[in-house]
Amino acid sequence: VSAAEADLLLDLALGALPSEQVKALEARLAGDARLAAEQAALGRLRSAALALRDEAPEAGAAQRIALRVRDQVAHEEHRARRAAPERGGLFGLTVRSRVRLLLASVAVHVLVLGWLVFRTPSGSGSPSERPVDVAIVTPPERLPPEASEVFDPLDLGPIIGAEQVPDDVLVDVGWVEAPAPAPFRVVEHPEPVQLEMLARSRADVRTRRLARAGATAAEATAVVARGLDALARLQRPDGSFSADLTLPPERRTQLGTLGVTALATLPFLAEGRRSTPGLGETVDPVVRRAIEWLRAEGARDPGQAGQGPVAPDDLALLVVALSEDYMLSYGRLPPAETAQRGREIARQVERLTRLQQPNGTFRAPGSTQAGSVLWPLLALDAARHTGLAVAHDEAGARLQAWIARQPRTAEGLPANAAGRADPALAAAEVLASRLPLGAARQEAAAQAILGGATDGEANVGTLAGALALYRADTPSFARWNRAASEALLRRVVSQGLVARGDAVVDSALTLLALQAAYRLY
Amino acid sequence: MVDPQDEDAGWMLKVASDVPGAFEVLVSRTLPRLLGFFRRLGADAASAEDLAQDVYLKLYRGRASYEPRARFSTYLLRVARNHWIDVYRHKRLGPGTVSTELRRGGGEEEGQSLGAGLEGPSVDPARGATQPELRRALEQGLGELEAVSREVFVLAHVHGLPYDEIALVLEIPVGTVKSRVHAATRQLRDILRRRGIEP
Repeated sequence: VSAAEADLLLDLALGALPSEQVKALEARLAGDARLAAEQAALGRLRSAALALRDEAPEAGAAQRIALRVRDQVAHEEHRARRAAPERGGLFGLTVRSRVRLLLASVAVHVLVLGWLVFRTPSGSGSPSERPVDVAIVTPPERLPPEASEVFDPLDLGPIIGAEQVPDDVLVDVGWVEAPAPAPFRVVEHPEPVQLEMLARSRADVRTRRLARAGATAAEATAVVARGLDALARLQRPDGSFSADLTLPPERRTQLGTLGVTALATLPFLAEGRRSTPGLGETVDPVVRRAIEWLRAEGARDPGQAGQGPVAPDDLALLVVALSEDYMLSYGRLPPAETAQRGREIARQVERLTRLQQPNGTFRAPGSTQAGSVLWPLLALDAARHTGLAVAHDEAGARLQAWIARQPRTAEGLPANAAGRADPALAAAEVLASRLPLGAARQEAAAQAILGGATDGEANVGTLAGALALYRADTPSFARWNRAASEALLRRVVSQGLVARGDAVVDSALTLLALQAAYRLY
Repeated sequence: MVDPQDEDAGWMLKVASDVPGAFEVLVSRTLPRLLGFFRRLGADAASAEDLAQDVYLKLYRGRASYEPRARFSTYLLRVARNHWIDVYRHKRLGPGTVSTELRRGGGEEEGQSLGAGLEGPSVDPARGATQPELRRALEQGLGELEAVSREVFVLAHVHGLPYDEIALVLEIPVGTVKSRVHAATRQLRDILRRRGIEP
């Protein structure tokens, strides 16, 4: 057929001809086999082309994209609101100034009301508002440098003069200074009574632990404090944190908002900041909002709209954050609330264990080998430390068995593809082992971890390495601290966040590595 | 006024009203089409997903001002095509050819090179190519078209847009669209013929 005829048939196929021209062309087609064959060929071509229209996305891609986009836009809108105060209205004040004025007024009222309520030591109010009912205090000089003995809070009855601690009595221990007059009963006890989870949050105990471990506490503590302030400013109004989606794809984190929020909350928890009220301490609003968001997000039905499958890394970080918060909150919440939080952790651990691969790892698309081993390992370990009856043992044993099956170096350490000791897996092995590895292998593992942890990059491997060194061998930790902490400190700029990388994810990892001595997984 | 037949436009209006879950539904419904568009223009699978994410970011940022003046698919392809121009032409990162990996699924072995099925005139021109043969040949042939011809061919034949909607996407007169579609279709038929493929 001629080019003009072919174009005409194409116009017909694309519905671009007027009706009278369509009729004329159809009449021609009925009597012209050559033209009809060309029309059929064009039809087959278009049919084959239409079959190329859709490209099947990877499983979960739509949910992943929607989540990232919504996160990014929410982050932008939040920043825009903060950057552009609205003017006008009352006395020409900006909206922000009016809000500050209002908050200041509310604060004054709260202070006055608080003074009126608490000037009498009777301590009225609902159980959740009470800090504690009984405080067991120990003279400061008797407080040991670390909590070497874990005291089961259910066995405190004899100390406070009761056969057992009633369910609705909140007990706190280890405090050296109680306000006078205290709105609760104070029981003095000559010997230190400590719950590990409480001792962990004591700044003075932490400082002594750091000093014992040879850490340069002063500088690290100052940097951590600045970092936490800066991280707090990046929290979104709903309590979550977002990764930096403007980074190039190869430098973006694979974690979802759930994992990023849990990770960003950990340095606050490691510092002993609480989501729940404690004696003489206030609730940290950043931690409270973050934990509320994490608990709500963790409770969402995975099948509902907008909720895609949760990656093992995200779930593992959620377990670590909830477990840390649980330990810091223990004894500060009514028993029913404590039990509820325990059930939530058990459910998340169960969800995590369902994602375990037959080979024992938690590998998911896009995750690194270190991430697929170390985060779940830390999660199972954190869950174990809560003392809750959670399904961690079998999963932990499978993961440990996978580590044990890895190729070995001459020193018996897990080897990477190049045959050299893999620092991340060496750290994993130390963390997974409940028993010492033996002096020679322990030292070899420490060397491997040190080799992998001194480049100033903070990732899950660095963090696990620091924890493993701290747990395994104090001199090794001191060496790590000297070698790596300076490099880590250099990564943090004056505002408290990392100079390069993801402001939330990389800063949180760096702060956690600096805080390693605070954490006793 | 939204066309009641255009369900995607309805979902976009729900997104504009911040209806919970609407954006996820919209992305699920339209992502295959968007990925297909970028793949046919020459992006590899990973880049196509990144490009699609950028397009949805633009849609979501501008959701409040969305008005259904055209079919949603036309609107989506216009945003996608403009983004493609921004990323691949202005930054001179444009790929020379279409990816030669076979599409997944469809009963074809994954990862098999397209060239494997296209070595020489293996098809008898007298009987015409089968649909799978034609589809593979088309995918390969698209990579040999000039960028301008490729985009009009993809819009007209792969996405089935009429001339006036292609004109909206490309922001050029309808007459220009017609002549480009005619020329692109002829060029592709010629490419197929040289490979011994007749539809």
